[in-house]
Amino acid sequence: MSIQFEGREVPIQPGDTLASALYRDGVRVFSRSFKYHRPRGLYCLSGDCPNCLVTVDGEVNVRACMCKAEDGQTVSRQNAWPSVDKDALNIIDKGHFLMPVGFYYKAGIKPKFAWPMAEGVIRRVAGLGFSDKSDAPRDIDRINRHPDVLVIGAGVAGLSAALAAAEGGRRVMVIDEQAAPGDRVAQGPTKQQIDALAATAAQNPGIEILPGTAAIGIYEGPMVLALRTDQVLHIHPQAIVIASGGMEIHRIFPGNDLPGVFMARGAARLAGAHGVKPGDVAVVWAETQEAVEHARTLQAAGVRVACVVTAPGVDAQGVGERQVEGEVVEAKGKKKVQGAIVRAAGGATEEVACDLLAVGAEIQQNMHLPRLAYDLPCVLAGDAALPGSALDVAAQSGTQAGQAAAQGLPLYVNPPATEPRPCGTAGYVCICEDVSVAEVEQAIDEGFESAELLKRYTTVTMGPCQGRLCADQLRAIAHRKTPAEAARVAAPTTLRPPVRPIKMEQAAAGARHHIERHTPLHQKHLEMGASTLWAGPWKRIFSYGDMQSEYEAVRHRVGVIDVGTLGKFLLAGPDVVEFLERIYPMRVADLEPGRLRYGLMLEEGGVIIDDGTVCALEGGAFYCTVTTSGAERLESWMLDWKEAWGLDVFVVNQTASLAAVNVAGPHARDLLEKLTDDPIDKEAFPYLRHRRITVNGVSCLAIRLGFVGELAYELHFPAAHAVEMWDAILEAGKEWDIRPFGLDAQRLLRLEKGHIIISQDTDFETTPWKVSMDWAVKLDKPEFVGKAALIRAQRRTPREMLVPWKMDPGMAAPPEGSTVTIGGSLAGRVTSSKMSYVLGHPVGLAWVTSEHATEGGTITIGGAPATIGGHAFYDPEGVKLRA
Amino acid sequence: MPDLFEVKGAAKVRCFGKEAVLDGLTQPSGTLMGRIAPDEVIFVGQPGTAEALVEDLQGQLAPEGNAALVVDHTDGWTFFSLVGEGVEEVFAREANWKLPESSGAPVFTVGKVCHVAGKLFVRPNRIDIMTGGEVRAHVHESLLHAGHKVGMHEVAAPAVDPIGVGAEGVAVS
Repeated sequence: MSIQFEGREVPIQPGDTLASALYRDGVRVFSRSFKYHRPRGLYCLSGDCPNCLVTVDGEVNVRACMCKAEDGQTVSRQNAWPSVDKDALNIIDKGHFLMPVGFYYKAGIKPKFAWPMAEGVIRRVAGLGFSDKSDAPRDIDRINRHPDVLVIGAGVAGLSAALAAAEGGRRVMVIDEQAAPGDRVAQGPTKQQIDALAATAAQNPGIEILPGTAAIGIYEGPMVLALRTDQVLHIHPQAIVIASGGMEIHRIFPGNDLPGVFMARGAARLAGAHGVKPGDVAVVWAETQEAVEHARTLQAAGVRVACVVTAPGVDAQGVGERQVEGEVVEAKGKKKVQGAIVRAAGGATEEVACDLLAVGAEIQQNMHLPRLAYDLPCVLAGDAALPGSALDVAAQSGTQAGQAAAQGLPLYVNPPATEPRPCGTAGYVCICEDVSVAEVEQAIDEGFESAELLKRYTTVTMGPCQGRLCADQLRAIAHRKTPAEAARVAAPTTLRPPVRPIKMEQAAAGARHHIERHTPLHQKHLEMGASTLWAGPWKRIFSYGDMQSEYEAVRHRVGVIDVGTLGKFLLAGPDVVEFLERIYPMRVADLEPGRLRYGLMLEEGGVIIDDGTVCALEGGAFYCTVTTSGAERLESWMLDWKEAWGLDVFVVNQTASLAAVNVAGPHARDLLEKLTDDPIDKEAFPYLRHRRITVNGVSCLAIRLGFVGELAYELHFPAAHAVEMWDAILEAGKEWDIRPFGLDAQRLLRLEKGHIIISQDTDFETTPWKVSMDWAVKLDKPEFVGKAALIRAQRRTPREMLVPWKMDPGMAAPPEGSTVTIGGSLAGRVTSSKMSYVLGHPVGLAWVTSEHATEGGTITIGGAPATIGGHAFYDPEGVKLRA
Repeated sequence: MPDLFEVKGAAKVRCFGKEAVLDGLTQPSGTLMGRIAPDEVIFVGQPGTAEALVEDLQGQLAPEGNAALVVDHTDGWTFFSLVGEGVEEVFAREANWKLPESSGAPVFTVGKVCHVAGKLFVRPNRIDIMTGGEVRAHVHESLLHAGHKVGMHEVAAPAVDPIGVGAEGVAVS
């Protein structure tokens, strides 16, 4: 078995990751750093650092230490030219002075053309790999899961917690980033205990273990977002146990980013779990007893441990060739580690030759997930709770956490921030973004004192590690530079999910398209070649290809439009009249069965939120329509008011169950008379009346309305009959060359009549007073929504009014949104504008300052004169629609 | 592997009234029943039975006068059925909430499915999903997509008893 690596074959062994296979094959430089193109080698081997990001089968930024090596993979390194081993761009490393921290805020500003050029170069040489944009994103599966208890981390503490929670009768899910529990742990007592616990858990039917699953965020709910290969899990547990462990602190000293400098756990992992020697001669810096064990692991793998440098209290007797109490202050070498400068406790320094420096620093909590679990039912266990805890302590803490989770957890409270541990004075703070201590200190000198500001200015903590390595160090430097204001400058930076970098295709998992609402005639329209547009959540018909002919059919013959998107409500119940009187500002109680009335809907501030009609039905019920985008919102709104008022009323949303079409034009009656035996003449069925009639054999609620300004019948009937009704109307209308018409034509037709469209012509401040619809408001009613606000508003002159306007023939219709000026001063804006075919000049609606909003007044729209009109330009007396 | 089918024309009749009155309704045979709210209940019957259902329920509620209402909502909601082993896997891809457990009798519940409001009957190895007719195409496509991941097939609705209540009907959930 082998992988293809930059043109050569690299053998792989069972259990190998890409990192272990490549290292075994002699690869030492895995990447070039983000900014300075410094050589970088394996460091953490736990997926936390950016050093081993490679391109695998065209996919960029794959963590080689976490990616299982599989036969046939093609792997290459990134971010170098011409190669990672001999990277010419490393010359940038000699020019730090040219690119100080925040240089992109300072350099290339003048002359103006310089920055775009510089930006192109910077983008080319910086960054991490080049993605193949020709690849279609994969369809990532999003799955919801609902365990009782979720345990994050399948180490000793996590598995102990899972067993305890399962024993308490809970269904437990355990997730872990590793390919299997303990997969990357070197042979030893820890590995043995994990294996034993995992075997027991696997036999427990109440426990589901999902390896290869990384938690990347915790949200309200709680909901834990986790990534698997080709899957995103949304896990909704009742309780969370975080046992995601801890990690060695990233120590800062000169040369700390050289290839050959490892975190001790990483070096031990390579040696103990994969059987690959990370070096020939090692210096191990052991700040913990655990690190001494790592030194033993290295020794056992054949590494010559030249020196173990111990912190006070750490016993390394018998490990390595010699032991020195002290610290490592520098890693020597140019392209790789060649030695370590060790300073003994007495102060004497010496250089120890080595090609491996394993830094076994103090263990810190991995706080990324816990900090997202604030105020959620969550508990920490193992290293996440007690960093560096012994095995028995970790197991005990896991068991206690599992038992607590089984019984119901209290909400997790983020512990108060502690003072950051001191960090080194030279070296790389952030190996993701290539930021050194000196650069952070320079930023502080420039005035960016606090960690939060430093983060933004220097980008420390904003790279692939998301602050795992460097967040505390950044705080420590801020604290060191401004000790008097430590609480302010060294506060922890804000942490947000995802805690691991994710791919855009993972972010988009489960979201494939917009939800389109369709009327039952939608497919029919598409078959007729209609174009569509969004109208709120609906896809409506814009035009059937020839707007002018659609328009002229309505004005001169007959047309039909699908208005099934209208919100349609049946309201009934003992208190329905009282309810409608409060919902609408106009009178409802005096509406006799068979009559209808136009109605505005207002919010408490008196602002118009919708409009429509109210039809009084036989038996005390009412049928109300609202605008296309209003149905769902107004259903909730009405139900809220119903509850608030405690009225006995039923609100039934019939939007989807009823189709609706509007037959409009001078021959509308002639057409319908061919399809119905019911009387629909002017006397039997006058304007602003509704009747139940049978059309084409289907019982319809027919409503006489005039939104487009012509004789019109709006038919509402069961949706199942929509297609046959549509076909029948078109067939019957052939005699008058009927045309179906879309919104484009309808918008001109209504504009000629001066009718407003809510939300196009109105905004969030529009009261009825501002649109001259005083006639639709009855302030003498005892109560309705918005009444108090309207009374107050009535005392003031509105700042602006919506007015109809027209231009002279021969002028072009100005674009909607055009500014209105008077005497050169801004005086308003155009909300609707169209060229009227029947009038021969542009017409529209515009907001104009009140003092100028007088009929006959002149305004300027886009430099052209326009005249403010009265209510309607077309058929102002309404003779046609009453025909 | 689960199957997906749509029961076109399944009768859906909504009844509104006081809680105690609705509690006293006799479930018409051969229907599923779901309590949407204290003052609303829905009955789902085999295709073509809406008229009879309305008549039955109007008869039962007639004494209430205008304090009760019966509405035929057959055309308003779609009725998709997921049937067979693995239906939960399809559901888990299109809803973020936990299905109620059913020991056999249908359990009625409401919640978002495919990002839209849904009303569901849940039985072992069967989930019936009702959503607004205006989003039928979206729901259909979403269920097909989710089902594709678990080997689901779309099939024609059974000619007999497509809503799966059997000859005797099923108990009130």
